[in-house]
Amino acid sequence: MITFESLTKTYGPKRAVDDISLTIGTGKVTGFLGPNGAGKSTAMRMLLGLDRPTSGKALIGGRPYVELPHPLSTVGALLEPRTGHPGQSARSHLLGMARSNGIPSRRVTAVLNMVGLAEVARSRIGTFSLGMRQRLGIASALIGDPEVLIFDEPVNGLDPEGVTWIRRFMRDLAAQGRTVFVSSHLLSEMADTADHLVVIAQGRLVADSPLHDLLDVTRTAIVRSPESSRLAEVLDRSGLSVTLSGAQIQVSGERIDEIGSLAHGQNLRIDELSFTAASLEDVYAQLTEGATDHRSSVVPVDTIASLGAQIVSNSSAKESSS
Amino acid sequence: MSTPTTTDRTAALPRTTRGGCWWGAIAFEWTKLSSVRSTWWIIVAAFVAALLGSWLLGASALASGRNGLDSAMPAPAIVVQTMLVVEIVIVLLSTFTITGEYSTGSITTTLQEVPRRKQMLLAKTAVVLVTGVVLGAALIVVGTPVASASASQFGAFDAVDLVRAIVGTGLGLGLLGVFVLGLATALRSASLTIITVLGLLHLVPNLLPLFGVDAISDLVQYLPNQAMAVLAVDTAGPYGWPTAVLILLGWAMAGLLTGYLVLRSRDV
Repeated sequence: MITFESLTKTYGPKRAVDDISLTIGTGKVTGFLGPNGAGKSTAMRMLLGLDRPTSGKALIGGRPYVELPHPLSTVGALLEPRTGHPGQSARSHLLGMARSNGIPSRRVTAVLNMVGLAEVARSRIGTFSLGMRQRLGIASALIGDPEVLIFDEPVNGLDPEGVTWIRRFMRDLAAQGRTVFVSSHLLSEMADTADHLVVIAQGRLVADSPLHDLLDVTRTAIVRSPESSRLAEVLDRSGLSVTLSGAQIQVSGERIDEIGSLAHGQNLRIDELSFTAASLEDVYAQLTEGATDHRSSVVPVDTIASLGAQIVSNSSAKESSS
Repeated sequence: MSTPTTTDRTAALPRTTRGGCWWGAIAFEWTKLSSVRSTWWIIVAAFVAALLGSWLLGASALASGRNGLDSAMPAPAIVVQTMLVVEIVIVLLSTFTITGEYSTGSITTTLQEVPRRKQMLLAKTAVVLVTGVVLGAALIVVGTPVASASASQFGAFDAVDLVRAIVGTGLGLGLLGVFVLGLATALRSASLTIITVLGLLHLVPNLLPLFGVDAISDLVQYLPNQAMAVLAVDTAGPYGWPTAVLILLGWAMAGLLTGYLVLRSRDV
């Protein structure tokens, strides 16, 4: 389990990571989304003890990375495709890693097979293509058979086959009960892979929510009813947000799928019930554009702020209730 | 290529007996140093330079001796003289041990494996020290017969000369390597480190006397090269070998401490 406690990193006046608090659970793939420069890599580097937080903490299983006795057996990380020294062979690179953490050397052969690099194990890393380096990076991350896996932009520069391969790999790892924390600046990469999304922009947390919730929040329903004002009252009491205009009500909120049954329960007639879903891309664009550049933002700033707040509060409400 | 086949979750991996911690960190550093080809090229170059230098200096001693000059010198001491040039090898090895990590970005991998920075630096120190000691000793052992052959009777030596040269050069190169490692850790740049060290070893001894002040000129004898010469050759120096060891230790500790203080709080 990964926890950020008010994690903050400043470079002069720039707040690269700004007061982020969140918990990343086990057994699922958590996507860490944000535009380039949002602070994803900085947050991950602090998690691995490479960079020092200005304030706050980044913990793995409740401990800072530097205090882990055998870090590779707890956390595997792929930070950049430049794993290892270019003059070393893939095998000796992994062997060095294994030795550093007391991992038996047969594990080296095992991970090389896992990522499909067994045949080039004795070639120098410098001669590898980007895709091969990425596979080697994943082999390095898996060397200690860790519970927690951290991947920073793992599909960058990979061909479609490699992308599919990495996605399935991450799903498999999560299915085995591990914590998989993956960053990306592209939502489309995460949409098929992640169970949970954490979105940051300009160093700030703008969303922390299961993937489907993120979609639900932005779904709106249009309800037409002859008894619109009474229906609006009922829906409002059920925690949905309601805008009444004549016979038509615009509804959004978590229990959006229960509109029909709520109306039925009160014997209120509905003439029309239709849903419009913003695509996940739209949500992401709204969330991040808002925080990236307030002036050029299409959506009013307060809308984005409330959307972000809603998403964050939704998920935290769920966590506390479960 | 291959299908994703991850292993089933097994109970924790069995650990090798000397696993992790200090042995692991040192084994890791040794694996890196020894598996990079440039390391072996540099070492081969060291032997070539030391043997060639020993032969030339030996021949020179022989020629001068035959012309009636007092050029006789124990063969091991002839080899020690070549260290003025050959020591660059340990400077390079030691520098690349850390700057190579920064230039290739593998420092991030290294610190993921050995996240405690003190441990990482001390593991590198151990590897550099042992490499320097073994290399220094080996160069004397191999170079002495060559110097002895080419200097003939003007290179006569006894066991004390040989042992002194072996131990002195070994310790000298080892501790010089540690000093350079610390400096390179602080500077992170290979070129900057090498220039600084060569300046200290070869330029500063020539610059200090230019001030014309005795107190400043005397400082020269406390520089690494001068201390190494006292340590490796059994002649009457400005101070004895124990002081020479202390001076070299002082340089090594100063370099290492500088490196550690900078490394401790620096973002990678």
